[in-house]
Amino acid sequence: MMIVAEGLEKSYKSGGRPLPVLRSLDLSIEAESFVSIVGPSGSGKTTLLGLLAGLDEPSSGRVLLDGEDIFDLSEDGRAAFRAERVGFVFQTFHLLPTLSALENVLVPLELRGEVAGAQEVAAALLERVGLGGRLDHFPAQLSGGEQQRVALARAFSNRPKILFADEPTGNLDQETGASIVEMMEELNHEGGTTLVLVTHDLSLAERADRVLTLGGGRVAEDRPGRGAL
Amino acid sequence: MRLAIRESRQGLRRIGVYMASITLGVGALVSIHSFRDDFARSVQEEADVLMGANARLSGDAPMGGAVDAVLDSLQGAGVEVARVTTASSMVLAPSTQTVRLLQVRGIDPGYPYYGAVATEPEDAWGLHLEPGQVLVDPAALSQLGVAIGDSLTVGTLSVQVAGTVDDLPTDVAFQTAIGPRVHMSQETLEAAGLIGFGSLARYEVFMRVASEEDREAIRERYGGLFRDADVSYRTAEEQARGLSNGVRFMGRFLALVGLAALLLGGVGVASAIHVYIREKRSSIAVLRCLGAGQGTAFLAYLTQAALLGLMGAGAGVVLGIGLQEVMPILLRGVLPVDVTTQLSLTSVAAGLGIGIWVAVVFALIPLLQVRDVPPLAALRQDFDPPKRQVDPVRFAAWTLLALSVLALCAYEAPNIELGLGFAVSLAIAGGAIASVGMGLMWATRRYFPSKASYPVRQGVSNLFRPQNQTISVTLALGFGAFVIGTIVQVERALRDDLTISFGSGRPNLLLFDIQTDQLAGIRALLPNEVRAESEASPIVTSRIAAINGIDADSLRSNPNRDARPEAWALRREYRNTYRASVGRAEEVVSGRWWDGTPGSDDGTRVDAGDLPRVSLELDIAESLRVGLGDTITWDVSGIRVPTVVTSLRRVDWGQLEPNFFAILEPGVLDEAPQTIVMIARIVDPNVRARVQRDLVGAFPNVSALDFSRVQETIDSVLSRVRQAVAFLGGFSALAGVLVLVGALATSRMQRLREGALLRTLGARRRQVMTVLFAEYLALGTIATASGLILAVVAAWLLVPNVFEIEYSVRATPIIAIWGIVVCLTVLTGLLSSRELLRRPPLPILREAPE
Repeated sequence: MMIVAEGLEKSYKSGGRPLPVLRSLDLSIEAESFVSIVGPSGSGKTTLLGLLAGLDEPSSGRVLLDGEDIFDLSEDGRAAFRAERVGFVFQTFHLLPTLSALENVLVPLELRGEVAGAQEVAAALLERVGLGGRLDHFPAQLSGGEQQRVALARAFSNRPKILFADEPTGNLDQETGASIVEMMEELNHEGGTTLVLVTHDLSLAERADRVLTLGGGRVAEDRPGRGAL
Repeated sequence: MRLAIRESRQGLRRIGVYMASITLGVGALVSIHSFRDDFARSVQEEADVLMGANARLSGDAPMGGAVDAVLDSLQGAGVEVARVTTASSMVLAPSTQTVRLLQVRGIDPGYPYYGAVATEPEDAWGLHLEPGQVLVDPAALSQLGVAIGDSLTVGTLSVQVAGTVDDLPTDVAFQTAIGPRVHMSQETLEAAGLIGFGSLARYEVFMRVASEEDREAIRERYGGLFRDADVSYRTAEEQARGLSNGVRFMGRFLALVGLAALLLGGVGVASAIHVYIREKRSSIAVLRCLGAGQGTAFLAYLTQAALLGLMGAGAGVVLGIGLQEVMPILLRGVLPVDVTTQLSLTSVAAGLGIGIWVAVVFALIPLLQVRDVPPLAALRQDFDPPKRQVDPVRFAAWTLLALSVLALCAYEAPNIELGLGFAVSLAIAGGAIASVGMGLMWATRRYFPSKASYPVRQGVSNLFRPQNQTISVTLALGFGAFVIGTIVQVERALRDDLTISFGSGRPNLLLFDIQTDQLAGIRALLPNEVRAESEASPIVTSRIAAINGIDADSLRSNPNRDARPEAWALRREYRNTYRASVGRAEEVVSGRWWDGTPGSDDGTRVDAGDLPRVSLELDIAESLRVGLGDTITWDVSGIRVPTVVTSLRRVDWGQLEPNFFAILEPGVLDEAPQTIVMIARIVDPNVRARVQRDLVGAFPNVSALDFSRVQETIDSVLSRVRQAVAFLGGFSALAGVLVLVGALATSRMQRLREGALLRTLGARRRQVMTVLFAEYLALGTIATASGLILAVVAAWLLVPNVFEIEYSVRATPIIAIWGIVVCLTVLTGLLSSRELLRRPPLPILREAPE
């Protein structure tokens, strides 16, 4: 198993009282599979994604990524783990505004200290997402769809074992959104990456091998998607 | 209004930090204004006490027959009169064998007529009138190493210390810094034999006159007589006015510094509002969609700025009232009166008004953006309306800002010219700091090594992030660094110059008031190796009787201003000398020396005929409107001595050499009444002390000035002045730090988001820290460097032109200031970002949407 969550609980403080979002959630995701997570607003999709990626700490429970309990690691240990094995795509792109497209894609490689050949890898990835001619453009000079493609190239630059995507098409039109998801799927197949996608868009979710529906703080439904066929 | 308040609920906390800089500036202004009023009032209330009388005569010579006759008749008319004579004299403490140059004062009974003198033991004032008894300033006891009851040798007399004078109400600032005083009766002073021919003394007559009309009547009736006798007449009211004018002038300079802090706050407000409006773009667009007109939205935000200004200024007024209470405590010992504080409503109103005005006028320009937000921006974030080509409103806003700054400076400055000059200098300094800052930013971007590690490059590139506040922080911190840097550079240059003046190889002992027949005896007291090098110059006191045959009175009334000699130069008492050779600290520039040596600029030979020749110093020649070939007739103890100007000299007054305005050729004044001044260099301080002791024993009328002590005094005065100015500079620096804190608060969300993103992408804490560290280090360095580069330029202009000293860059203080400001920036920055290291990334990313 690539991802295992056991007894995962998370509650936030709201008006002084704890507001439980996840209640004893169990989950396992196989390596190289494509899983989408759906559910109504406030059902805890992004919270779950954040916990699986070690971006937030659970109230209780544990998460094993690639066999390693990430909450046994320190913050820095988790950061190092992400640098090695995890990629991330956000709804709001989250590019660094002061860096060009190429430099944004280089960031994960540079954080890992990979200097040799990094430029070529990054340029090739941007070429792959159709931005070969815009390496030196800054985020402000790119459209939303182009920015998300840069974010995608960045997510794949460290050849992650797992890619987490949080509403990656939420800010894009349908056509652009579909092309982004296609690219994610292709990269997923080529690199053998496990893909976890949080989305509102049911038609998008259906493309996955498995569709998990959150409800009441747990996995309310777990069914195969079209991708499994 | 309601819209403004509702709209301001969020996001204003950050701008609040900027308002703190308005608070600081208003606080400074209110406290300085109030203090000025307090001081003027206190001084007027205490006018009589400050003088110790209600009118005073003073002069540099004994009053003389005519004035004495007037005083006799005044006394007959019921005016009380007390004479005080002050001379410098060597005082020896036999028990410790210590000698010091002190001020010795002979005082008539009755003085001071007003105010209580605090003494130790209590009620000792009056004991100094007893024969053989003196009272001394406490500093005299510590300098001489004696206690109450010990005896002292003053002149030829042995006296006993009956007590100390702890507080004389007439003491005006720094008077005692000249030297501690020994108070005694007039009779004792005369008996000590200190007031002899040619000795330097000050003669004062204190009077108690019944009414102000009588005091003015005295001026009207005897003013001319007093003037002719070179005696000045001053009433207590005039002295009080003079004192409060002095402090008012200083207070206005202080107010300008407060204003500079306030204007820096204004710059901060402008840049905060700019970012605030950018962030509020979508709210504004929604308001527009809902039907709010351009003007409504603009007014809503302008009202917010005014409300914030009101809050900032209100807090400033409270701070100012608090500081007003602290001011007299801080300045105690420097001020002549106990200042009582009183709430000054005009100061409060002025502070409040100025604070709000500055907040609004600086907010206006960024607020104009509100008009340009189209309703469509609510639908499309990236929609940008076409830019306005010529915008009269924007032009008007800038004009209003410029006029406001000019008006505020003119209002606060001692006079309009200074105010406008200050405003222009501020603009030049601000513009220069901003340009240097932009230049440095450009150079950083262009030349920063691409091989540097990623976190460092990321940190430096953060300076250029959209809506960055690099320039406003540079302006704020740079201005503080500029003010303090300039002060330190100038002060160091002055101090180094002093050290050279007093340094090795220079004379360090000055003996004066030597009578001609004492010279041989004094030489004998000096150690052998010193004797040969010691240099004696005769001093002949003279006045100018006529120039080119026209007598001084006629010269004074010459209607042609350009030809009329300056009054002070004509009236003063000259201490002339005669000698055969040119002195060490002077150079003949024009004409020829006695022996025919030509001057450096022009060697014109003047035929003096039978008349004696005189050499004048350049500046005094200009003040007297004389040149080569003109004749000056001197009055030497009633004998007229005509001379011809045959050379002009340039004198370096900074060198401790006996220098003179006028030098006559030898052979003319040799027989005139004269005293001798002598300089010597005695390296060993023990020998120097021994010589001074022997001198007091053998020649009590001779005074000795030990330059090493003078240097200590000047050093301490200089450092006190530097502290005072640096305290003021601290206001600007503090305002700069507040703007920095505000700028960091404004961009905090952006920085947190970027940091959290890096953490998500796998950056370790150390890497995130390095990014932040590099950013703040670069920011602090660019800001400080801009200010310090300008400080060096300012010092390079000021030091040679104003202080006439050579200037070379002092690197150590520059590095120190850079280090302090950069540490402060990095520390403030890291503290404002500490959340990033404490909390996991996801919550931060969710709280800080783009």
